[in-house]
Amino acid sequence: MEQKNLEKAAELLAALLTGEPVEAEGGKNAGLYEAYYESGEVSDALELMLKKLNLRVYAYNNALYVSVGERNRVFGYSNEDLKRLMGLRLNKELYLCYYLIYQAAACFYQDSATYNYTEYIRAEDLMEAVNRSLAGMISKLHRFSSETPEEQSFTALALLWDELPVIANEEAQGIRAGRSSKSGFIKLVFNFLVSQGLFTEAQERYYPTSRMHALIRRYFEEEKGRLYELQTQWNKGGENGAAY
Amino acid sequence: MDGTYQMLQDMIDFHSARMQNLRRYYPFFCLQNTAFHLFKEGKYAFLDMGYITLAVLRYFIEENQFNDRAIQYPEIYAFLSGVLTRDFGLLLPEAEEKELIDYIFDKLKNDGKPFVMEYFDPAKKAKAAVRMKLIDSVLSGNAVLYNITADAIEFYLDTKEIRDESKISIQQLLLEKMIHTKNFKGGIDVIRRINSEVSRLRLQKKEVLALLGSNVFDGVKLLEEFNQTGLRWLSEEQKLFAHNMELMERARAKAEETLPEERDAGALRGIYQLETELKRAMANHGDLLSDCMDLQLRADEIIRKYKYSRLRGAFDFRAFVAAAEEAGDMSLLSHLVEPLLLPRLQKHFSLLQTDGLLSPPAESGEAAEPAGGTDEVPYLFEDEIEEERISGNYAAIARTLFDELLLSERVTLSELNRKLVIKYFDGIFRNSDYYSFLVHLCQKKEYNLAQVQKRQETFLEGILAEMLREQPGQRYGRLKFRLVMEPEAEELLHRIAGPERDAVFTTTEIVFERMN
Repeated sequence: MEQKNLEKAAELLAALLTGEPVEAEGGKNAGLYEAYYESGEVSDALELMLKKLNLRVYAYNNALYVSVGERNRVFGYSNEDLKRLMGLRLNKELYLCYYLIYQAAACFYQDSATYNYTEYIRAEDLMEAVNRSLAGMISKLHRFSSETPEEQSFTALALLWDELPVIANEEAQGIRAGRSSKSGFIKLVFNFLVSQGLFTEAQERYYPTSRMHALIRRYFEEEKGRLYELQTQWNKGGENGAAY
Repeated sequence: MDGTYQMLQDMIDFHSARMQNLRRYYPFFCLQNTAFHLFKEGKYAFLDMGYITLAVLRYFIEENQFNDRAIQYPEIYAFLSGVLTRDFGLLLPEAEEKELIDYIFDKLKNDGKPFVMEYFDPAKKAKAAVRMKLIDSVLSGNAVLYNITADAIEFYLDTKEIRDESKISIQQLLLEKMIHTKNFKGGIDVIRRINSEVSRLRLQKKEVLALLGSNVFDGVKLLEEFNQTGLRWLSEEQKLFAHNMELMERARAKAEETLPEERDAGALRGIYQLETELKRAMANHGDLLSDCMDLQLRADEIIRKYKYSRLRGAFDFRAFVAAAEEAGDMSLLSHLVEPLLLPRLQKHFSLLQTDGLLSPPAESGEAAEPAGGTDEVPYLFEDEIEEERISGNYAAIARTLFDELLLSERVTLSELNRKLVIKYFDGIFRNSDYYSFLVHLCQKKEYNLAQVQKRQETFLEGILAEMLREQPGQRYGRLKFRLVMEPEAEELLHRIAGPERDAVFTTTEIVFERMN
């Protein structure tokens, strides 16, 4: 391996880790992208280094995106980190945020290969989607008796959502991020997604970024086998030590 | 023994079912009891929250079900304000009225939370809870829209008539009875109730469809339930409608047969009204039927699509979330979220730094270079330097010439040369600019410096104009002179001694004559 190529690969690694865009068009890292694209040695070296760090890189639409994968102890966030970052207190609030993020992604992708060409969503679209998807559970909650559900259960999540008012204050102008209302939670989640480079906001409309498209399409395409394995494990009732 | 068992079964096993039925009434009594005693030290305790609740529900049914539109806050405000003034005779200042109405509406919404009734479930030997909301809200644009819930409609209808599996059939039978007894007015009420029941079923149909969209398995279950309870009687009802219509026709025919003077005008009007209402109800009912057909078709479509998506090679987010739901662990959704996040960069603060926290910042070993000396030095190209020199020299020679011309009307080149030698010594003749000046000067026979300042025709005039601009007091401003060549006169010789060789330049004598 040439020293020069190794250097390029290391520069790429540094750029990706610090969250700098690495794109073919424009930006200071255009040269690095070219090196990655044109030299097999550079791309091999980069991928090797990333693999050792438990990271993955995806080339999509003339740009490179890095994913930290799951349970990454070095570069990933723990539940506590995420709660602190989003200003949440309870675990079930975090799970609700996960669910909102999933719903936001599901507005664009039903599965990793089917982009439905929605251009953007607004806060109310997301609220509508969540209301719709939780309606069944909530009507069940109304019909059947229930004890205090476990924190991580779907029931707890639906209950939390159902008990939130749509907006915190009838008179308030605009919606603020917060934990006291449905719209507050949605704003909170969108702010987080924007800060993570997954959405951009323009006039209260949220557009998914290329990074979002790249990760949804590539990561889940690549990992579907493993994730499917996980699903079947949970459904077996956790006999392999998973779930529950 | 059997009797005791029966009783125990009723007590224990069916307790939950009974509580489920009671649930609908719970918000009403909550509101009835607690409402006004704590607000403003019981100042408004005379207001009856029970009445207000039922009135608001009726208003919601009117707007949501009959007019098919959602309600916004200002409309509720106006309605409640009307109730307070009309029924309780309350005339309050605006601010206080607003506070009161906000309070009432918050109570009705229960601050957006469901009413939770807790009870002991003897079958499970555990505490249980049932939930119910009266008013639901959705966000649309920047406005919040309010809707009555299906539960609340049921509660409202329950307060006046018996409810059974298919309310429509019972109402129909009731109607038949009324037509027989010629109670047409009561019949109209019955038909209106049928209409509200039909719209309740249509609302339920929407719920089923929404659930199918998000969770196919639960949706299919609800669809089956709906088909069993909601649709089983549809064909039977259709028959009853036809039967009622027939009775109606007969009643009308009979009324029309009677002699005009014996006719009961009220009854006849009642019959007509009833007929129109009945026709409307039948149309509504027909709509419900086609809605149900449509529901079945769309459900089939959704299920088919779902099956296909299960077979495709792509990763199905929905199935993944459904599996997590089933496993009862929503923390598993982190599998979906974590890969999307940016790498987390941990920035640490070195503990060694704490020692230095209180001490002033140390002088760093290398002092920064003082700023300054960065003034821009304009760069001159060689030809620019040359031009500057030429114009300097030309101006100097021209100035000497003009000075001489100001002194005397006639100046010869040799006289000028002598002056130049006094000023610049004889080195002047070694300066090539001197000769080029003469060459340039001879391009024109006449010079008018006033003109030159306005318009320059030659390279020399350009330099002269520059010089005149810089000259204070317009000393040469009005000078006019001409050049006269004197080829017969003796040629002027300039011996130039150079370091390598000597050279001789000759120039013709020129006479400069001032013209003013």
